Amino acid sequence: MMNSLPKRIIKETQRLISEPAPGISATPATDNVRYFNVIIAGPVESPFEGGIFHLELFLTDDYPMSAPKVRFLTKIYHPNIDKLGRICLDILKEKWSPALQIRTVLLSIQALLSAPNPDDPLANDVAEHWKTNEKEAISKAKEWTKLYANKE
Amino acid sequence: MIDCDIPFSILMMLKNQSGGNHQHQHTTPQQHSSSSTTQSGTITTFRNKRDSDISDSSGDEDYRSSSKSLQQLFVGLTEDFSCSICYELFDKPISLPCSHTFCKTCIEDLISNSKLNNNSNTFLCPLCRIETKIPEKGIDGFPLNGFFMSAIEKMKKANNFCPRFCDQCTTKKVARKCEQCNLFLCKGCCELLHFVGGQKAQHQILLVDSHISSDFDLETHNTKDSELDPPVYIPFNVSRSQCSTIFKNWISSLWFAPSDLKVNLSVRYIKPIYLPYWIFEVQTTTKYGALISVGSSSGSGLLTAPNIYNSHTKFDLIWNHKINIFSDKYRSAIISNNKLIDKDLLTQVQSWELTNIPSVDQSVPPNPKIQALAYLIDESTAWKKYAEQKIRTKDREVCENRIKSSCGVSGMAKDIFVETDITRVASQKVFLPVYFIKYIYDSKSYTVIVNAQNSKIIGHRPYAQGLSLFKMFK
Repeated sequence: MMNSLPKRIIKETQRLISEPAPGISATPATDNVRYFNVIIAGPVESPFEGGIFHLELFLTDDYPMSAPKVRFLTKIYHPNIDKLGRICLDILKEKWSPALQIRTVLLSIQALLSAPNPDDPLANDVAEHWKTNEKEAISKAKEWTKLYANKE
Repeated sequence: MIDCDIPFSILMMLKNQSGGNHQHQHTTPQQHSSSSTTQSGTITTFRNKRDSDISDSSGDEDYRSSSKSLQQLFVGLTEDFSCSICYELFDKPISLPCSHTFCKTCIEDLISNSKLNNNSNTFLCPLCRIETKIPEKGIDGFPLNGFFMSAIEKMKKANNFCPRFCDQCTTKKVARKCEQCNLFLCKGCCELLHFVGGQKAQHQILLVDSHISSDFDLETHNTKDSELDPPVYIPFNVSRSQCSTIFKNWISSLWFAPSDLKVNLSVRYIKPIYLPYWIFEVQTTTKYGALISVGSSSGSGLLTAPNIYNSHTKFDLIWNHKINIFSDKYRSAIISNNKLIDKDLLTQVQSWELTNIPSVDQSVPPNPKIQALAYLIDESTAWKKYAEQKIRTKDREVCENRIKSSCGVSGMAKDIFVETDITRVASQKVFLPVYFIKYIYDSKSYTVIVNAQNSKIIGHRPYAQGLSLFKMFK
């Protein structure tokens, strides 16, 4: 009955709010403090610059022993993010460590936007596009950013 | 259930951040002061009631800034000595070969988790990802970091002397603690945090005094004050049918009872009840002494304090002034509802020593069908009016016995003095399970109480004719 929240989650949340990382906002949902609404601003000098990307982040019951579940809600043209918004990032899978935290995960995702990695793709068609014609792929990513990621 | 678990502080911080006038609100705490004591949930008065708000007392600026930097030092140290997995101070810290340190339980969790994924006997250090072998002995093969352990112990102690500032605004002294949010707050912040969208949060708020050191353990709140602990319910060991057997045996064992008592009594009810008690645990330090004469033959055994005074009386008795100091622990149980029980039964109930009381965390929830009598005597009255005197009397008895036994068989003691100094260690609300039995004989009603923990029975009874007269004149 007393399903109390681990101190770690409370502390992380407090810190996320009091010292937010630049370009990242993460706020817990009012009805579930393990569910976070995340906003990442597209990094400068990337095809996603100027975009506002919404994500959802969920801390499972065995967090921090297993990684948080993160997914893009905003449509994005990126070789490591698929149609459903799933992210191909090693620290969210086999490279997860309990010493990592929500903040470091979100910073890594922000970095992934700056440096797409088509050699480890999740969205095969996008990665292929990126490899064969990077210029065209980047301009398509910019187009998508304007199209889908400029809402409030 | 869910809203209980959401730390309101977190939600409110968001609100305040987006509002942008958070700081401003803190600077004007006076505006909240009118609705000070009942603003949210239950407020339990903690230690001394204070009319003025502790948090807003303007303190010496030097003292404030120095104690604040002291607190910051502690916050920094606490982070250094916290596990990077659970974010709490290290609990049984173990160091891996790469020298990174974690709580034992956290590494245990990590190992069992990584074993689920790949059945190997290695795991990666969470901080440096170096592959680490699980020792043959298992987790116990990693040595405990004794240095960290003793440092953490010292930090916890030292932190008791450090006045604490509001977790939220960090500028005002702590005046409240929210049990749900697990935050120490000043008055203004506490009210802000617990007033969400015009609704009061139902949180348990404690009034705390930032000068009372023991309230500020880094980790969990040290529940020395009974107000913080929920009452403990001693379970029923005696069933209703067993109780009725105990009652029948008692009736048939009564002497000088009317011969037809067993046959003609009628039981009106057997009712299980939780009886409220205050339990006080104390530590005494007692200075006691006397003038002692052990006669000429035997020497004094127990009292070894220096002889202060020697003299010869005309009977040739040698009186030695002996002083000793004696320390002991006592527990005193004070019944806290006297409405239902007659006076003479009450003294007997009062003399029951409550033993085998489960601790708060072992306590089982009470049977909801059984009524618990209300506390009619509050803690301080129970202490001042009953418990303290009881302990002094008992301690005096113990010390007088010690004096007597040190006199030996032929010795004598006079001018006995006993000075007891009492320190209260803990107090706790405890409910004792009992059965109230009411029976009628010869159109009179009698009360019997059965202790449902240890089957002891006390009660009123009729006497055979003639003997009732004897009882009246006794």
